[in-house]
Amino acid sequence: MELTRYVTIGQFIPRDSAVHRLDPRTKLAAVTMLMVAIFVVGDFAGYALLTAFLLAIVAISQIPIGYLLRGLRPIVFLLLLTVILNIFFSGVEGGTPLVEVRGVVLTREAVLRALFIGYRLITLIAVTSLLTFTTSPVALTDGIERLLRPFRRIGVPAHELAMMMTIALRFIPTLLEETEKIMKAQMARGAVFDRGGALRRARALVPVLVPLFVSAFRRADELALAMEARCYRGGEHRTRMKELRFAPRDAVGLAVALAASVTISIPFTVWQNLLR
Amino acid sequence: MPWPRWRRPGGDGPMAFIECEALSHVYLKGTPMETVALREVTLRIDEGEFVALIGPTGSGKSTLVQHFNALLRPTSGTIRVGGVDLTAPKADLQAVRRQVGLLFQYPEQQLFEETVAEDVAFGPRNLGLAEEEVQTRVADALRAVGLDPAVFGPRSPFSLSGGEMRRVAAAGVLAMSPKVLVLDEPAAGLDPRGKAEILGHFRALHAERGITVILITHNMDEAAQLAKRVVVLDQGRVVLDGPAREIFARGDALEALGLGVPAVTDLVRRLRARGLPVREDALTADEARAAIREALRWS
Repeated sequence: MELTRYVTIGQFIPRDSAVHRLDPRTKLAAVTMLMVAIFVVGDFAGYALLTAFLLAIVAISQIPIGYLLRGLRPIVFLLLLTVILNIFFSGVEGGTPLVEVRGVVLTREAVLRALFIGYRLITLIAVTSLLTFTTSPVALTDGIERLLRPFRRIGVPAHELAMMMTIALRFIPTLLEETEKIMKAQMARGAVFDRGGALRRARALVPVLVPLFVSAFRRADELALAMEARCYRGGEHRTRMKELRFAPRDAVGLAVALAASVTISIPFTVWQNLLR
Repeated sequence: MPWPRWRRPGGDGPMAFIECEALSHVYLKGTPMETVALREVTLRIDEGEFVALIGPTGSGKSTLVQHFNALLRPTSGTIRVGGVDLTAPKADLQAVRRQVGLLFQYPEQQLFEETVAEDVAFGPRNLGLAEEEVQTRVADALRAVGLDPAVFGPRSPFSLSGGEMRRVAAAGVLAMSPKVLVLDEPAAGLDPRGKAEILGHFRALHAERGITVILITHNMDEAAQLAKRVVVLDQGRVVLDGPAREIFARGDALEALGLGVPAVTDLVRRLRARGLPVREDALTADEARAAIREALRWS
């Protein structure tokens, strides 16, 4: 039983790659641009380009592709459901009929659209996973804090939000480990978690959840104390050990991401006209 | 019919209760975080033994003992417990967990019920025992760790001291009436008195009820005083395995692994270094005293 095996979201894989070295703000901006592009793409050429671009990033970042795809496992069900629902309720009028099932006509357009939407979800998760795989949680929240700083004037508690995120991310693996340990300890006392109906399974979790909450509160307490002991008092006048600095490579990264997003977003037919 | 595998050929020695062969375990296999925890461990533990399992942090001790009650499955190799092959897909794991009780590190963190008695009853209830039998076992288990069931039974486990909580957790495992008790650093983080108390109870359980005990510890004095046999793990391999006396006589080998020697052994070694020919295999203070007297008489 290894819970950490199944939760890859939010995990950081340390490598020494060009993608890892980019400023977190650059990566956040690039991911945002790509996400917009993913929503705009509407034709095969665009998806092909997008796929090629993502594969190139994966190769540069030295993240094993299998590991990236494993992150999709938890959403396989959601993905299938989305695709199936979209096939039947696409709202696409007319089109070339493929098959008819009990009065519902499946059109080529509807199926294609559903597949596109499914693929869109996959690429969205791939892009965001790439961000967390290549950026340490601390760097990521640092970047978010810096990007949110201009909004402080209108009352956005940028530093506090970033600190909360850092702490939450930091404790995901710890709590998973703890859950695993407590489950094992209760299994050693004969507890069974994977048998019986929904109610019985839910009740079987009580011996896990109570100790888990107790220890989570204890940890929170200890953390607060440790932070206070180091004179932590929020964002005002705080300096950092590692200042975020834009390097030339960040300009290159942004330019590449922007170029790729724009290229992908423009439909193939428009390209044809432009290049004629 | 051929002899079952756990019986020694030709001898009527004790039966091997736990038998690992070329047992390996790899965590998170197939991911970038893959780590090898155990490498081809071959080990047998007989019924009625008191074994200390020592080794530096990360040597695979905790991983190894989790195989003993099938909380972990080997990546390769085999393990048999009580004659049951745990690698078989249909092995009755519940039956194995009934026989091998595992007390994790800091077990007081697993307490969850409103009262001590209810918490200790969790295990026996999972076994599906009659309520009467459950109550007998709860009282029995609490007494075995030196807690009066009438006093501690109705109290909340969260109102107890660290040492008491630890003993309640131990009672929770004992209430399963296991044949083998695996203890993962049971005295870690307790004050000297709490340590002596809880270890005393385990020693008594071994002596009086014949329970097989496997003790993981970083404390060489504990290992020397309690265990008859010592198994040393390093980087997932068994590097030393033998009677406590022999293992602790090899202080250099232990120190090379970053492990210490018991205080008594240390004293004897220092005396020898100063030229006093004291016997090297003393394990307890009494033995050391006798050995030193002997040496002084002859020198």
